[in-house]
Amino acid sequence: MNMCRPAIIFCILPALLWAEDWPQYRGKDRAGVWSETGILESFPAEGLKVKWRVPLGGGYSGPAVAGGKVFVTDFAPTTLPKGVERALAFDEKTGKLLWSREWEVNYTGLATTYAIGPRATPTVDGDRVYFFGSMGMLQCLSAADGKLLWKHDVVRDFDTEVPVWGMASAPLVDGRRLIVLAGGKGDSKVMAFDKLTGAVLWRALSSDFEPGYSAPILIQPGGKRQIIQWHPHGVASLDPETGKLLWELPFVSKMNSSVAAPVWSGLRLLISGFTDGSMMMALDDSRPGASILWRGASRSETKPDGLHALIATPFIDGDHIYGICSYGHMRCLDARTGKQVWETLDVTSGERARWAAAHLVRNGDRYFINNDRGELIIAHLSPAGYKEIGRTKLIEPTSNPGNRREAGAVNWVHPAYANRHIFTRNDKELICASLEAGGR
Amino acid sequence: MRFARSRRTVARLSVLGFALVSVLPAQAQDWPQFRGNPQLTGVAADVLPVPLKLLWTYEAGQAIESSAAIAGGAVYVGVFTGELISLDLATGKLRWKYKTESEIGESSPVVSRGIVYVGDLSGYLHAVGAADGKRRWVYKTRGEIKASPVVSGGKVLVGSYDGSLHAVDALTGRLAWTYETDGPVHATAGIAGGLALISGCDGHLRAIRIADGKQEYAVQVGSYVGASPAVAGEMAYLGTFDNEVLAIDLRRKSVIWKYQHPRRKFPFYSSAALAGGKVVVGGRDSMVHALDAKTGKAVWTFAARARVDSSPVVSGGRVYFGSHKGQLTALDLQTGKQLWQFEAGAALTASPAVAGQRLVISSHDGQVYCFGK
Repeated sequence: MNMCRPAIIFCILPALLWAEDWPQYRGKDRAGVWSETGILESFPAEGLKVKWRVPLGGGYSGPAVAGGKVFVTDFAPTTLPKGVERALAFDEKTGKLLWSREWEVNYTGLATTYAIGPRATPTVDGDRVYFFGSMGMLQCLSAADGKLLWKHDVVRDFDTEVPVWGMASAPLVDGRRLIVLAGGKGDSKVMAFDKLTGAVLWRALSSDFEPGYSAPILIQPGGKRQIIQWHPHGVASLDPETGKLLWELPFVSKMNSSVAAPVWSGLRLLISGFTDGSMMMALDDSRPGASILWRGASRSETKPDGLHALIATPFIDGDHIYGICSYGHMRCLDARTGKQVWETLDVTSGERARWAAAHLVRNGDRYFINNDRGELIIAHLSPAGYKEIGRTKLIEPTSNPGNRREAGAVNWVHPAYANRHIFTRNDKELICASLEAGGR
Repeated sequence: MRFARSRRTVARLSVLGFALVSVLPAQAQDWPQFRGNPQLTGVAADVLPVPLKLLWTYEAGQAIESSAAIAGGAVYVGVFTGELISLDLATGKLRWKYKTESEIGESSPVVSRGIVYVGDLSGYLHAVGAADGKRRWVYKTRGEIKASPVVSGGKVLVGSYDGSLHAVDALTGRLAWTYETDGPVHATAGIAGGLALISGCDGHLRAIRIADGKQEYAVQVGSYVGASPAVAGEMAYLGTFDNEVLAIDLRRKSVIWKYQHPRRKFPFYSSAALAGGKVVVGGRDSMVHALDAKTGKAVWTFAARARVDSSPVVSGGRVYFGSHKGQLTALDLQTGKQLWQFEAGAALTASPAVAGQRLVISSHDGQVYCFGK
């Protein structure tokens, strides 16, 4: 008996040590890195075992996983274009619905094809979870029971003009602040709220143009903390404490389509857009500042130069960049010069298709990639090329594909990787599948 | 030298065309399609009475984004319930309802030779008897239809989110041809000299021959386009998602001016009205902009204090439009000064239709409003 206890503890301890939540969009630090070990090397021939699946309404927002719960949003139409958005929490182990909270929305003004539900992934911070709906309903709920702690309807409270593809930027927690791409009138494009009370702490950047869709990130080159917000007219660095503009570089995005998140790596900062291509910035390591290291020459989605990402955020790995270009090509660029090293259509299933997407998450020396055909891929990415280790069908694509009729439907959801599982959703269900080595 | 002369001729033709449209709006006292005429100029033949009074309302049950058509004393409008409804213009009484396969969104009916055509969000184009509301035929596209059908040369032309412009025989519904673009065809086709001018999410204004469905030419606009092109002579005008209004010379096949507000950079979804030498268009910057058609310079702007997706209509020197906050407003075309306003209480993204000295517009709470004397 006594001998068993240390053995049990010995067995459980590694699992506890390496357990990892996914509390926000793109995981810890919004870096798209999943650090857990004990993950399967390849997919079983029969496919992944789905541990649980539960019904869900429409939406593009990925799940967030923290503290034993899975948080996600959805939408159910009532009398179109009106409907109900919901914040939901499920038990991570069983998929049991723990609580939900709903609010009415009117999707008037959104592009109807894509007005199927919320976009922004919830952000979990301790015992609180933050939701941002498509029409600007910002809410802080108790993670335990869904009780409303505070809320702002940014359209009503700050006169936001909701852009055509809806409010999509996942809120960011930094210390006591909740940073939100709110698009408020006047100089309230980016706002910081007291995360506990919802009080406005600071406002930054002019709203004389649309807010765009990109999520803010926190960087600290040379130890100096900065909020980076990519917006339709450029890249802005804000002081997290005050919202003061530290530096800004111009980058005009056609159709106000700043969508993917900025990518930070050491003294490099990258943005990449659908029509306007990529811009790599060199960050100053002694004071807040940046300069353009290189920028792609093309402003055309059909004749891209380098990388023209849309939905999926690229990844910087050492001196190379990997990302999905405007028509579904995965491209590798030299991070120092922006020159293309290679490209392949294998990731998005060989279809040269506008708006094709695949989300990249690094785990150790390989990548987990979920493409918009609902497939999950394990691959090695290196300057030598794309080397696929395995591919399996994960979830049925159900979202309207726009003009990609040959695809029939797409899935543009960024999944969550947590505690050796993958969590993702379509417009009908939320699923959890084990990625643990040994298939438990 | 020859080139220079040709350019001057083009300019003269353009001005002449513009003037003709400005002074000779729709010949019939009807408003048979989106924007009132095949050139999509948004200019009414009727001069509306001043001030306008609310004559009747009709409760349609669900949101309405579709702009009305008015022909032969009847109003036709699509509803999110999926119903195409016909109302008596004089009284607002229901004449008939026709149920489509799904919701009707922004697609506005067109009435031609006793048949009403409308698209739904399941991708069906419907032909319905104007007198009895009975189905004549349906034609299926592979994507939702938000564009309004137009009728030209015996064909019904409609863009679909399947990326194609479809031309079907107006009497039989049989496919004549399709033209595939590189993105959803959102906008209603403007008709110019046997060509259908279309735009949408592929960054081009394309001129497609109505006779055989071949592309005559394409002009790069460099952005998604939610607006439909308004055509005057050799010129077409449209706003884009890239926060610009463009003037396109159709003979030179090039953009001759671009307008952006100096400070507020927001997309244009509203289609332009062309009248009195001005291009009048609503913006998501909560303003209505009147631009000099020759130069693209702003003549005036009006602060609507809410997004204006509704396409303005000009009648008797006044500009009428709806706003996201539910205000139907009349402005003086020359000065932009507000002359009249009605609070509908729900978003007005549809555009006014004007015929028989009446103005019809519908709202997001499902009300059809008719104003007149």
